[in-house]
Amino acid sequence: MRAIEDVIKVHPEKCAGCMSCQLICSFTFTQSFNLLEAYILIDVTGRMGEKVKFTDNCTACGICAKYCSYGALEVKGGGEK
Amino acid sequence: MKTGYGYAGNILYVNLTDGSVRKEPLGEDLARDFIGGMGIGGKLAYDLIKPGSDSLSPDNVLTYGAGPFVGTLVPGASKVDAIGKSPLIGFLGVAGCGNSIGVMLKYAGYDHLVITGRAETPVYLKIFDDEIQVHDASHLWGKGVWETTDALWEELGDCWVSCIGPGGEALVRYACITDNKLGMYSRGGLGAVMGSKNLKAIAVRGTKGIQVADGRRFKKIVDEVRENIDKSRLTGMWRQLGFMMALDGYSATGLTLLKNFSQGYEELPRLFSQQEYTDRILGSPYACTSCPVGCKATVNVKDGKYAGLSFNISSPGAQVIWHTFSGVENWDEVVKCVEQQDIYGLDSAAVCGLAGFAIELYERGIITKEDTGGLELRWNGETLRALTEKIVRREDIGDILAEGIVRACEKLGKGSEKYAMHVKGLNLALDLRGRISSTEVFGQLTNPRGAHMDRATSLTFTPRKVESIKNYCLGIKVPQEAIERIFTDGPEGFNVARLTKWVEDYNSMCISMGFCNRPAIAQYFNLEILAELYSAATGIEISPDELLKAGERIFNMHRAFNAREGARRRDDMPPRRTMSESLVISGKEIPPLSESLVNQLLDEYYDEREWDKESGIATKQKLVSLGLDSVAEDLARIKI
Repeated sequence: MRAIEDVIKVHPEKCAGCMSCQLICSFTFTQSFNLLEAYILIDVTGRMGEKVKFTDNCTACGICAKYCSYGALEVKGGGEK
Repeated sequence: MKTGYGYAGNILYVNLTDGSVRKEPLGEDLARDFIGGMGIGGKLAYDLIKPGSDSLSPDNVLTYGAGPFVGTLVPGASKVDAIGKSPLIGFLGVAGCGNSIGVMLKYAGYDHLVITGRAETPVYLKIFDDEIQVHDASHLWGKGVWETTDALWEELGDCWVSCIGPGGEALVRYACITDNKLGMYSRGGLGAVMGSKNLKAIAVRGTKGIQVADGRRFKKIVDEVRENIDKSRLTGMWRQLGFMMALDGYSATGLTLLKNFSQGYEELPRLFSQQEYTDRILGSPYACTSCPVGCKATVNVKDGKYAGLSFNISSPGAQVIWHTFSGVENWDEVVKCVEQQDIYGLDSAAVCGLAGFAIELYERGIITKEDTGGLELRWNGETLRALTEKIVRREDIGDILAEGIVRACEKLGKGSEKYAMHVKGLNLALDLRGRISSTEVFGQLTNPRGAHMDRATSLTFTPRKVESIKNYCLGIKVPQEAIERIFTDGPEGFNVARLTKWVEDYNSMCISMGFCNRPAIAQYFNLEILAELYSAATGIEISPDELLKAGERIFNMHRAFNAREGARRRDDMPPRRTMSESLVISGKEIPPLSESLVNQLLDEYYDEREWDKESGIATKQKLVSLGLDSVAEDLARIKI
């Protein structure tokens, strides 16, 4: 399995906090929209240390980047849709 | 109804008087008839709030409603409405919030939260899935919105927080409720309702998520809409400038005025320039949950007196409009004033409107330093902040202003009502004289919540070609016979009163779905798309016509709540100043609205709605045709 760093370059300063990446991730992997079940986490509270984080379950599919409208998640090597 | 698809399927009732909690299923009939969010919220308010109840007593009910799209990937689908009886206007208080706790509420299993009664001491409500608890909040009482939110995040970990600040605690009748330090249920004073219930905050965490009935069909539509939004050149402009991008148009046509709506403001685009905004004020765009546009902003003042001041502002362009009411002089002062209003948890439009009103009264000698506690009132940010402080502390003139514009006039007397700019007690958002031909402007008269443009948002904020308006009407499926009535007269080629009826019905339905109806999002939808998306999400097949009828039902229900509280045609009339004083904008005189024109427009509006023209109330036949038989019976009993 590819590492997420090989697939996506994160630009946290561009993240607007819309969490669309989390929504599509959870929908893709759980068939349910559920922010807490996503493999990517966006912190809009400033408490997590990092604004954009990937969990250990992330498969580096890259779908999160396809739903980022702000250029915060940049696809490097092309992902699966 | 098969639950968990679009709808979470439950209404959660919490009684703060005895701490009891109960859960009731959300029936399919209610869902079909009132869609969700603002629609079902209005129905709950009508059923649960006894007519004539004191809005700041335990008898009032506060509801949060998250429509069927909330929590999904539908663009901008985090728009949730809080509803109760407004302590400001005495009619239905309806306030929408993007970035709302409604997302987590849905994930916890509830479409609606209904709060009744009153806690004896300050409390906060914790809703973590099925764990519903009322906790002591004495340690939070007195704290500002940001501090309260941070404290609950620290105390409870990962959750979304809705809270009031000192404004709501002091029962300022235009206090707002704030979610996650950014989204605000701004207008109508529902923060004071929360304060009257001793409810400081609500913390929500939901782990169940929300499914859709037909994932493939749903995703296909969502993908198409998102793609259209992403590729539009306008999206980038909205993201960079939000409402800033239209301020020059608004000021040129007289929508935004200076100093308590007393002067035209053609200088606005120069004094609040887009260039200065992007160079010195804008830090980065900020978005509501699931919004690909991001028209909100993190401001970051680069230099000057307030260098380093940085926080999230829900709508910088709108804030400029509000702050001109009280003559705030530049961007730096606007940002500094918003910071204070946000921490105290106050509706900026109302604070600025009330402050502008007070400053004008001071200039005219109607109030003096005796009333203000020695404070000189000037058209600037310093005065606005000093007045805001007095309002929250309820000191001197602040105690009177905290009661809202109508009560303030009653207390002050001396002809002060001549300078009161409001409809139904809600401070005016846009002036009416320049372009009453805009649905957004005219709709401030007929909106059940008072002078705001949210229900009548179409595409007429700025003048458009008639063909564009016709295309819009086709998109929202205005029937042919109505189109023939609409495109007959009017200074811009259409009858604004008749058009507004259809726009209000459509928007009432859109808002109830739970997505943002600002043009940056709404223009990519139409009635066909929404019917398809609703069916894909919920598994409830519904036609476009049924959806539009639901919007009409929702609007009629809200107005019925008001009628039961005594609202009549007189409450749809514009502020006196707009009918007695002309304006000058760029050397051109704009005359006051003639009373006969306003009456003609209201007659046409009621006619289009099939309402009684004399009272401005829905007829029995209309209500029965919408399936609101019991409402028709209620209204038949009231004295007109």
